[in-house]
Amino acid sequence: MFNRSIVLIGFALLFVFAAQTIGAEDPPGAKLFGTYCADCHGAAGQGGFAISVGGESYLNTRDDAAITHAIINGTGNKDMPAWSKSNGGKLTDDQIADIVAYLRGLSPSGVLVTKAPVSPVVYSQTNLALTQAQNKLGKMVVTATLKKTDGAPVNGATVVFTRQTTFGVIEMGKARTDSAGVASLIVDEQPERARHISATFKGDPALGLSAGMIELGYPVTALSHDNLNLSSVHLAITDEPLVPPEGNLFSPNPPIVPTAIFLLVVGCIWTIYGYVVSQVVGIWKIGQINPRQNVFRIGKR
Amino acid sequence: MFRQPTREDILFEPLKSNSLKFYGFVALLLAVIGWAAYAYYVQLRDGLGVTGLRDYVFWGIYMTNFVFFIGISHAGTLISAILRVTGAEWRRPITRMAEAITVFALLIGGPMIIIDMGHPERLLNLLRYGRFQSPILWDLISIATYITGSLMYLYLPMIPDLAQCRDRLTDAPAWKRFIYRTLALGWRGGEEQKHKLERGVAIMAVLIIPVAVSVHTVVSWIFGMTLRPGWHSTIFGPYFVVGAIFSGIAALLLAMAIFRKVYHLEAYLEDKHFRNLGLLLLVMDIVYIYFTLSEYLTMIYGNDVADQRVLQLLFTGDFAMAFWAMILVGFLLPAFMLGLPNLITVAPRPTARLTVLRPFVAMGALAVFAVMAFSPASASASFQLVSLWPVVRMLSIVVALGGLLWLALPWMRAHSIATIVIASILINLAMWLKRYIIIVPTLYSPRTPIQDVPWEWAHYAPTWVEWSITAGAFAMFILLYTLFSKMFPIVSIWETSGEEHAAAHGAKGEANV
Repeated sequence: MFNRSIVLIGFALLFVFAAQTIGAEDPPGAKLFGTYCADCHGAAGQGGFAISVGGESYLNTRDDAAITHAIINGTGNKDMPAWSKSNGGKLTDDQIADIVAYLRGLSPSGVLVTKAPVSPVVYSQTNLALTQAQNKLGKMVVTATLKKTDGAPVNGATVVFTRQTTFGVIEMGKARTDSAGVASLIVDEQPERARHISATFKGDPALGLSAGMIELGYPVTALSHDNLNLSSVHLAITDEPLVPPEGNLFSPNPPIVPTAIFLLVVGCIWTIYGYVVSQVVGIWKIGQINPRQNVFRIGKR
Repeated sequence: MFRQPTREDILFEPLKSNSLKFYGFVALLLAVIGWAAYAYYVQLRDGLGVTGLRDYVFWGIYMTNFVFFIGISHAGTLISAILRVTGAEWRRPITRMAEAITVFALLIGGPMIIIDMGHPERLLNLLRYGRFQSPILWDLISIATYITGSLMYLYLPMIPDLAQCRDRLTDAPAWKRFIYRTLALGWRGGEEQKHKLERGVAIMAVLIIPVAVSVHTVVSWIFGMTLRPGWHSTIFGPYFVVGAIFSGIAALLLAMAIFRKVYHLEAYLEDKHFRNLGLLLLVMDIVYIYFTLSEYLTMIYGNDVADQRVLQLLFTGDFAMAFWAMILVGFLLPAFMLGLPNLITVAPRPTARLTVLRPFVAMGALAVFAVMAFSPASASASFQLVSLWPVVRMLSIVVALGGLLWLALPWMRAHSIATIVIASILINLAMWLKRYIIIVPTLYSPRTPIQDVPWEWAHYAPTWVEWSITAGAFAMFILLYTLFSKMFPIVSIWETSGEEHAAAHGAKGEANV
């Protein structure tokens, strides 16, 4: 038994060493991503609690510098903090570069698509700049200004406003630029947290693709959960929960047959209970006939 | 009146006097309950925000306690009633303990739902706005039916014993005598009274079985009737019922061991009672493991996105530690503990060398277990990046535990009751964990993905308020059970005296009454 135990422990230790060598073969970026990023962004960057960073929709709209910047400095919301050691995070610059390289490897094309095919004619690049403002009703308005690189506004171009969500990219609306190159979108919601709105101009044969993103900021009172100023926040939910109309268990329109069967079964059980109680009452009644006569040993006459 | 001392004198001992230890124990329980009451006051004053419950995870350990207590309440009926109906004579000394567990577990479990509500008074909305289509209403009705039935089922077989208390404990305080006198209903053991009692018990024993099954089925339907990953499963009804019987038997075994020790009931609770119930527990353990495997394997093959997220949380994610501890230490280890001493009947060899080395070998195995169980997770927590690490880790934990088990086998064979009790404790802990990981991981992964909410809204960790109330619930359960055992004979006297009688006459037969 002693020898067998030793062999057994030996096997277990062998497994430990084997496991360590197996664990070492992953690329460094994958390892780091699994440790620091996968909890929110998903094991393969598919998204989850936070946005997807492993798909084309993310990788193809950002170059390496933008991704690196986001990791080093964070994106401004508290769930994506600054990760670099210089900013108080956990990662060195080399490690961040490894992660970016790993992410880049996840996209099938692996290239950053920012330029449309070059047209030899009157082709020019464009810039899309986003700003935010509040309109008279207090709603947030995102304004996209599309200009050529020489500063001339682009008139009549379609700008698509989108948001990245865990469902994928959601289109929030389209707008055509006016003569000043301005297209705007009213964001008809007041979230408690800052969120990112993207605007994209797809380009046409004469104009290059351009995109921009803005993080909508909201008044400080609405941003902090602790100091939530309820008067300044409008939610679509009423203050009190809506209650259904009263109906004494029969609202609204229960299916007749199943309800009848249900009530029948429950009623039968309670009727039988009643019968058992009647037996107990019977015992009690008999006991009252001569309560003083006690029989010491029950069951042994 | 002078009598010969009999075996059942020991059953009246706890009813006659209270030791200092008893008062100390009650004071301790009351202190825990008082603390829980303060915690509940804080929760009522400040709202559910003081708990870890938030928008997404709206059920936490309160609901875990609810399902857990409803589960162990099945100790009474489904053991006592089934054994009574099938005429298993060895059940006689344990039925009352089991039935009392039922009543008190229900009294504690039911109110957990109300504690879980931010506005307790809105429970009345179930009556004002309730709908027969809603499993929540079924739950209310079936639990009310069950608690009424199990009270009757506890009370009926107690009537002859109450009459004995009335007649024998004549020097008890007046209030106690009043209770005995009133509850005994003037029982004198005449033919007519016996006939009515037997009829009542027979009806209740049969009726309470479907009622008990329905209760835990309906509890499972509260989960199963929702279209949520991990809950919406046809197996949930039987799965919960089996789990309830499983944890109920384990709870009963614990109660038996404690009463046997504290009230010196060795003459009543013999090895055979522990062995028989231990085997029943083993069977339920195996059935439960089979159901668990069936449930998760079906989910794995379904490959539904939301199911996958739940499985990921359980197998490698936030709940992996609880999940694997439950499977390995809570289900598999007890199965071996209950089964191996019965299976391996080879006489232990004299192992003098090993006796010296055994602690070291055991420590080695423990070290391997600790290293493997608590080492940081693999670098890639991904299903897609193939790594043998989880498999290796699992294997070494199993091997280390197996080694420990192997070393402990001689001890287990020599201390069969202690082994069964340890297995029962592990099983009860595991079943509590099981209810937790049924509830919370599913709430982590709704079908509409969680997004754009603060981290705390989508994650759950119980706060001190919840732990305090949970501790208070358990203390309350123990307190009620203790007081019951000090008030009434915890072993049915009239049912076991027949056994004594039959044994004295060398015949196996029915009890006299």
